[in-house]
Amino acid sequence: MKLRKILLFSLLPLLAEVILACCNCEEPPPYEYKFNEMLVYNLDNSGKNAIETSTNETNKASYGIRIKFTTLMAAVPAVNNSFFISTSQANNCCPPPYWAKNRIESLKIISIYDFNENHKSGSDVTEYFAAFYLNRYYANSTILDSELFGYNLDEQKNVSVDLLLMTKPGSPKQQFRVEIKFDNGRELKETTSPINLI
Amino acid sequence: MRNGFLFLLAVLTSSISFAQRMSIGQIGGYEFSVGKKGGSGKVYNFNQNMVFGQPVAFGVQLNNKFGIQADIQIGICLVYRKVENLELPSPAINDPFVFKSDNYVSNGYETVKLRLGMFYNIEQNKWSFKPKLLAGVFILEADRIQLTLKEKNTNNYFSDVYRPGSESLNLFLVSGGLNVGRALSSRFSLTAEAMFSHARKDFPVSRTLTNLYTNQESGQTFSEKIRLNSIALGLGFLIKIGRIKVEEDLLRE
Repeated sequence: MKLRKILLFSLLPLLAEVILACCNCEEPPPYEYKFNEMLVYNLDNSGKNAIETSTNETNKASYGIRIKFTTLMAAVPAVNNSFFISTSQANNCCPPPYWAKNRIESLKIISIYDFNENHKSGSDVTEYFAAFYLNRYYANSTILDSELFGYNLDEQKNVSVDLLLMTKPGSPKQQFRVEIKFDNGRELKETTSPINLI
Repeated sequence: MRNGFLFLLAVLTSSISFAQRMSIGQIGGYEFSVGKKGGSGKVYNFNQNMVFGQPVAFGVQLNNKFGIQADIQIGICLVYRKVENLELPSPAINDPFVFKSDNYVSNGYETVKLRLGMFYNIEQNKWSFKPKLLAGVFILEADRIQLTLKEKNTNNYFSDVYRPGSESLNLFLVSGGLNVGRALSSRFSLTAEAMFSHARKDFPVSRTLTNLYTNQESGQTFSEKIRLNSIALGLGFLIKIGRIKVEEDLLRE
């Protein structure tokens, strides 16, 4: 009987930690990352979901560019040490917020070929693109909104943004260069594959 | 079970007879939709298999055979839409939509049933049989519905908003059924009840389609037809309160 009581009392701290682990959900420290590399793809958005296309032509009314960033982990959220419970965050009830350490200062989409009468080869055609995310369009000044580039990390910690062409081009043959400038002066430039927008 | 045979947590009815005897009782059981689904509207499909709160019924027995009953039942009605099957006129664009919203959209709305009607009381030994016919109003809440749509073969996304003529829809309701009771003592009876209900309403719905990029709006109004059929089955009890020997007094007279 005495042994049982000793065992019971010795398990009480463990029980308390389990209860605290389940119920006490404080906001975790942010997950900080850095944008690393950039990849760009042609998009076919004619269906329900936009898909990357490797064909050399697609519908000009449903064309888009997918920009994918790989990220580097800059800081891992600190975890409270515990005597009994593992410090892994495999089952963290509150996901940490994601903060980018190198903010995107500017995003430009440059047409390689003539886009229309007013936008010849080498023109900035960013204004013709918009992202659709969480039931709203992000265009022009809002295209660098933190909701787009700050919180839509996937499980592999990649940031992916789809920029949809909202104005039909004047000529079918198109290719675009995406230029990203970060606040630390770093620049990334990638060009899409040539595509016929019909 | 899926096509309307949803669980009804409790259907409670009580009746009090004031004229010659008084009684109070309640019934708990299931309510089933008749047919594939509760409602037949294009957008607003109500499923009448609902979870009730605290329904209360009052009855007045006019003589030893006929009586009138009024009841109120408060519950929750499910509204669901199989979005992919919606065939709606498109005021702004011609291409068919690709729906970005989930295929099934469902909400629970509070409902109130108010009924008034007559029952006929047949008593044989310890058994009682009460055919009932009630009519009234079935009040449903119908909030606005907002869907996000994507146009096929374009980069256009639309907000599709539906607003009923009023947030509260008053459906005409008619119910008929049979209540069977078995007296266990002079004041206490066990009862079983089966009721069929039909509710219907035609109401206007305004639809506003907004291109989320250009903010261009277009609208139209159309009529929705809601038809709800259901069968409620329940078991309960009845407690008589007041004078029990009233019928014997009447027979003597």
